[in-house]
Amino acid sequence: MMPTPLDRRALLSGALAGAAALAARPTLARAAGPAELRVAQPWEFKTLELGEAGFTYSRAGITETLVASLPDGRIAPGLAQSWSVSDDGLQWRFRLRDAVFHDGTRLDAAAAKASFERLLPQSLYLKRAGIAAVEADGQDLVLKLDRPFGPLLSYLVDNSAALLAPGAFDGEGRVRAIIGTGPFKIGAAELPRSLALVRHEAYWGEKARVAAVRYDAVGNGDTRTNIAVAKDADIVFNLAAQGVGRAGSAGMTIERVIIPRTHILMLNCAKPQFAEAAVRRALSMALDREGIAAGVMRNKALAATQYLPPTLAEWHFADLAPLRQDVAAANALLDAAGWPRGADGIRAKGGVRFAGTVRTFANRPELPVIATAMQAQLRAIGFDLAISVGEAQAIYEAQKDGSLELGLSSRNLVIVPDPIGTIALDYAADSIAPGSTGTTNWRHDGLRQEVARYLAEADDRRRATARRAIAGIIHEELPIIPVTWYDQIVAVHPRVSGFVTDPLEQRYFLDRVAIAK
Amino acid sequence: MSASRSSIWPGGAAGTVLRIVASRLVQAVLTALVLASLCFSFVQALPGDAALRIAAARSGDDRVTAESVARVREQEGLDRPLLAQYASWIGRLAQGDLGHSLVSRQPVWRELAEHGRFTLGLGALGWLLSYAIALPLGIACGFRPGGWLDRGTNALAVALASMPSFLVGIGLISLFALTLRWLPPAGFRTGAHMVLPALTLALGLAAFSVRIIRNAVVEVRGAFYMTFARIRGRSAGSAFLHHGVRNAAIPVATFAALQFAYVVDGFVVVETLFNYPGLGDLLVKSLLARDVPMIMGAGMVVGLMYAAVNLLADLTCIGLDPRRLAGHGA
Repeated sequence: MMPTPLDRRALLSGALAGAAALAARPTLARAAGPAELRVAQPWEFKTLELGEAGFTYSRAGITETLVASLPDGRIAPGLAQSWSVSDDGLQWRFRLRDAVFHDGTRLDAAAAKASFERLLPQSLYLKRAGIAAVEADGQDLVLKLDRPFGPLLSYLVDNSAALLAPGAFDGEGRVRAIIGTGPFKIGAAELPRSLALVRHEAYWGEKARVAAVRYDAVGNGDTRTNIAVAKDADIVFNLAAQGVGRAGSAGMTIERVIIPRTHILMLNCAKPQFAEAAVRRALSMALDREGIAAGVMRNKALAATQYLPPTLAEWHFADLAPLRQDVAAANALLDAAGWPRGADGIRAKGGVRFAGTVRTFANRPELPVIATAMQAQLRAIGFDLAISVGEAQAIYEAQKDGSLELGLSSRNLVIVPDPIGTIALDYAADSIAPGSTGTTNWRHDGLRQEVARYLAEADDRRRATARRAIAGIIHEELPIIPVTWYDQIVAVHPRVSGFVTDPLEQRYFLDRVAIAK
Repeated sequence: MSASRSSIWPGGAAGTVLRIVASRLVQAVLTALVLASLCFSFVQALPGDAALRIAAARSGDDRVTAESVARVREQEGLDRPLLAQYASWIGRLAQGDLGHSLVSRQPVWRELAEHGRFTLGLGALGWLLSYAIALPLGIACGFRPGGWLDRGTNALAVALASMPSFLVGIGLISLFALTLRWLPPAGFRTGAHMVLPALTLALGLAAFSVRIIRNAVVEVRGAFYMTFARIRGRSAGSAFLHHGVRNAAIPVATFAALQFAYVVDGFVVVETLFNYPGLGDLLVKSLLARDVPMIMGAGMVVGLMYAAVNLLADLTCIGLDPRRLAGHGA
């Protein structure tokens, strides 16, 4: 028997209804209300482990640490209202403030101790501070160190060891929920894309001015630009430089601040082309940093005159001769170092061609473009640069197996507010750091001594001397050539007031933001 | 309603149809297993350390440490021989466990269900929208082949088909989100968020299907049984409705099923452009992170979905033309 029209119709309408129901499901999710602050930023909330994604939760104002960094870089009280250190520098005592976790439990020394003991082993930097024991003493948390550690307060800002409530951990000690003390708590989560934050009414400090925040992860830079141009978010972080004009024309306020991140040219100092400091300086002099900063980064002020940007005032030294393009001087240095030009214009010495392949990656879209610009600039001093674009991790793997010639990468200098954390890893460690940002086959005992002196020193004056010595050696030796600094570009909706940029990117200070009615 | 009346297949053919379905299901499961195994081999053949990439995916490149890489290697058993890793996956699968994502630590089935829901929703909407556009246009063109509508539609279809979907998406965003400000440029929460990505998909799909529909209509209208229907006194419209639609629907149903399978596979570019959390987006991120259980799970699910959609298409065609059952022994 042939099918009847009724049967087919029933089949078709069933299929249509099913598809429509499926398609309509996302509409069940809550749309942004007028009183909700809408934030778009690039980082997904991939895991609940603070050792991996802690920065996303601290920037959003969900988690807090014992001490906090202010936008000007100063260390301020956080969950510890005050602290003292013993004369030998081995015992730090922190008086905890009267704070309440998001689940209503009180922050006491026992809870802080439990959180510390669970998170410290997997923290990124704090675990390097030599904390041998954590003790609860009344409302005090006592940290006992196995050696004096000068920058401990900066390391305590490490958001991978933020304080979580006892209820945040499961029976096996894994983080099962982010229950912190910050001005916002997680109301609902659509991991890894979105968090709905609500104001923590029992917050110990000044309460957030907005009651709710829709905090979205938007990985694609062009999509973030579109969101800014359409004014579909109140604050859009990490706007691409190319989108500034369009977002500005649409009525968004543009905030730009140089942050402690440097795009770097890494050199394998075991290769004969890069073994001498004079040759590395010549390569540095060939670079037109202002051109790259203006043309690629769209901000001439980002031309790196030294490794550490002026945002890190204590680490940026006006008396260091700025790194500038000087092709004639670069050629003179290379001639003096015995690298004559061949018939094709490329230099060579003892059968070694003055050439190399730079490995870079496209996660940061500007890097391959910068590599192309450098290719032409280096040719002017007789260096033949080839470009290989792949994964960021390929740089580290080439460092390890010795095949790396050059690498173009990017370094966040303030995982903790004091850049000594990254400098110690990148310039003064025995093993290569897997972040693809450290020196390659370069060892400087003088620098190592200064780093060790700085880490052990509590006296500010002597620490300042060590800082200058460290910055000076990095500047003279150039085992890594700074190319450009980096600026955080934020598009802010005109209905938003009170927005603050934090150059250290520890917090986004969304609690200080208000929305006009 | 009688039992035979509620069936869309002729009486006595139900057993044959069941046999087809059963044999297709077995084939589908085997194909999915082979697909997952191929995914495993291909990912393992990629150069570089998987533990390093997984650690980087969890924390970002800047925050990877030697300890975090070692921890991933040990906790996830990546230091075991490849055969042991594969055998352990097969063992878990036998118990109905697809494993967990090496990045988020969430069960693979939960991640796939969450992202699959979004892809299916958007895909179904885009697919239906494409036929809402293509069916009337294709039929109208088929009735007047060579006319101005046919020529205009053809030109537009060629232009749309040759354009990458991200360009179509950018064009729609520029017009409807950035200039007219009628719709949001990205997101996934409300119905309004789905309009532009669904339209992007629909235009891309309709560019092809409108020609298939048009050609099917032209072919059917020239068939002898149509002439015979007209001789019997039916009007052109009535003849097409009673004799043409069913015959023209057969190639269209097959093509539509293929297109739907393509949608299910995920439009990576569209999902990225509109910040839409679908399967394509998940698959690309999993590949970059070398998240092997996710890749294998996604491979299996996509394979099964393809098989299911193809089976549905075949059953629809048998429903439309029961003579096809003869080949299967009915």
